[in-house]
Amino acid sequence: MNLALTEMRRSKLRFGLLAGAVSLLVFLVLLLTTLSTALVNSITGALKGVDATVLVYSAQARDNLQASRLDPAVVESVAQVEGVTAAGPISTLTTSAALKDGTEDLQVFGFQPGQPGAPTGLSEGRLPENAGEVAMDGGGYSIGDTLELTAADKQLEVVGLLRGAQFSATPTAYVTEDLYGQIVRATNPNVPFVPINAVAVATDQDPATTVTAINESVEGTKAYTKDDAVSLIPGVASISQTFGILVGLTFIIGIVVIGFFFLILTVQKMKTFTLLRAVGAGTGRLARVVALQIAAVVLLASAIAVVLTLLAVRGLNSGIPVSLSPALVGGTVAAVLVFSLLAGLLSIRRISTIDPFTAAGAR
Amino acid sequence: MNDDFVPAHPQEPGLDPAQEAKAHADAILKVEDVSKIYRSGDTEVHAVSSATMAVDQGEFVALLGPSGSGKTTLISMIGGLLSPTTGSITLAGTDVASLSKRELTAFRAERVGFVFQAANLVPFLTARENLLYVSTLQKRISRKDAHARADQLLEELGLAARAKNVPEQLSGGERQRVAIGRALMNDPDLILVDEPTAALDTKLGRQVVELLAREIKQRGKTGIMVTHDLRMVEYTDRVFEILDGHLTHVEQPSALAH
Repeated sequence: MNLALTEMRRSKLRFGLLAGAVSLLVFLVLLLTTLSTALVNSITGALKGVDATVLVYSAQARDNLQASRLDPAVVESVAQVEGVTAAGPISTLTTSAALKDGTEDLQVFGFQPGQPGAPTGLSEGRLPENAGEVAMDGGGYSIGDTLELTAADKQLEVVGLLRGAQFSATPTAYVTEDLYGQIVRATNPNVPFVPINAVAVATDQDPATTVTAINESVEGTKAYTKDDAVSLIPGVASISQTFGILVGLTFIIGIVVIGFFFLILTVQKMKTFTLLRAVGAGTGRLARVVALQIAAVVLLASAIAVVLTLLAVRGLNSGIPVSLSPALVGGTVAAVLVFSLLAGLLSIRRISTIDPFTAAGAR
Repeated sequence: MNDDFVPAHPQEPGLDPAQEAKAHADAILKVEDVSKIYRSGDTEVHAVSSATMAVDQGEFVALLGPSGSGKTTLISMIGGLLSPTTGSITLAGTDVASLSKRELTAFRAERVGFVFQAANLVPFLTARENLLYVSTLQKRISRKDAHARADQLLEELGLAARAKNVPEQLSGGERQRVAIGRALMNDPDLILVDEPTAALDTKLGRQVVELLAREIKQRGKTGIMVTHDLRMVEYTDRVFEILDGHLTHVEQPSALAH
């Protein structure tokens, strides 16, 4: 007979309410983390997913891809640097389009097929190979649909769908560098050349070494490892920090609530625990009762929280792609479990101070 | 039953240890010169002073005394809930005072059955589960045997129909009967009963003590019952009295009860 589970079965209301309260807190942690991850990904996805280990901006860009303007000839200079195995252009602009989901803002990325700078994260179809094709992340498209670029007056066939490849939390289209040039010239017919925003670099050595090599040999540029470039995207650091504080606080409150709840339950049960100590139950055995109940409550609460989060993610119309990652769920539940058991030490300490003699009710 | 009864004089505090030892040379429980002293600052409180007693296998004895006399302290020391300050307690060859805390826990689970005054049962377990739970604290009785034993005890105690009820659904008398079953569950050497009738009316109290005496006798167990109710001593073989921590062996129970 299991004392912990028998008690829970007999006191369904009490433990049910407890699991309910804990589930709301776990739900908040999961939802906030999922949303912040989704938000950061939708801002950074295009850079995070780019097929390159090093990115090169113009020296005046102040670490901002969109503020960077480079002569396409820089691609060749970068390709000459020692350790660089291949280099390709990355170009980006925002334009207007008649998107299927009714919105109009579109981020366009141009890349050279077969060179660094192509997107990854293809979920369906293939990447564009000529100037009539596009791969999309967002906007509500399917393979075979037509994307209408209103500003450039172009009709493109959607040949690929990407996931986690958005930039600036806007639907993002990936096109060949040729088509990108046509889009630029359609709205600015007089540009002498079509500037690129960055050079994507593949290297066979440590990215940091290549960064140093490029910075030393290609004038007017500044190179970054991809990770650095991603974290320098404007707003990312402050979003991560803000959500980090919210998630951390919710987590701490959740753990404290669990610790206190079980301490209250333990104090309420002191008479029973004292009796059990008197009739020969060891402290370790009683500690295991509390630990097992905490684990059961946390796991039940987590299951409820996961369902709530899935419903919320499905029901939310946040405008950015949100999905619940199994790793996040697993990590969060494990962390809540471990810290809740630590909080349970409050109760266990209390149990360890029981003097079984007091069960005899005298002195 | 008490052919070896040694008369004592209530006025004289303490029982002659030599006489007691001689009369009960084969006693299963031997309490020798046991004292419990509580220190609070500079003052010493002698809860029990030099208590000596011996109880034979199969005997059911009463320990009488007003509240605060030290009777609960004495049986708590005998039951391994409390360590004596001085003296020795031997139960079936085990020196209780020499056991570590961990050993005392196992000793209480396997060798002693307790019936306390109140709050005597686990509130969220049924009558049957209250019996079964204590069987999980020992290793001598197998799980299968424990189930049969619990059912048999409940049957004997007239609780078969109440086996699936939690304490809240039981009357005071039924609860004490469940506690008696729990005390007998692990087949202990010694049953210690502390004011079993405190929460019961006279009639119910008598029934419970009668049942307790019968179970102890039938099973050849040894029992000590703490009480301040003179009417309950008629079910016991011998009576000890404790007053201000001094233990004396008094009258034959029948003489006290009537």
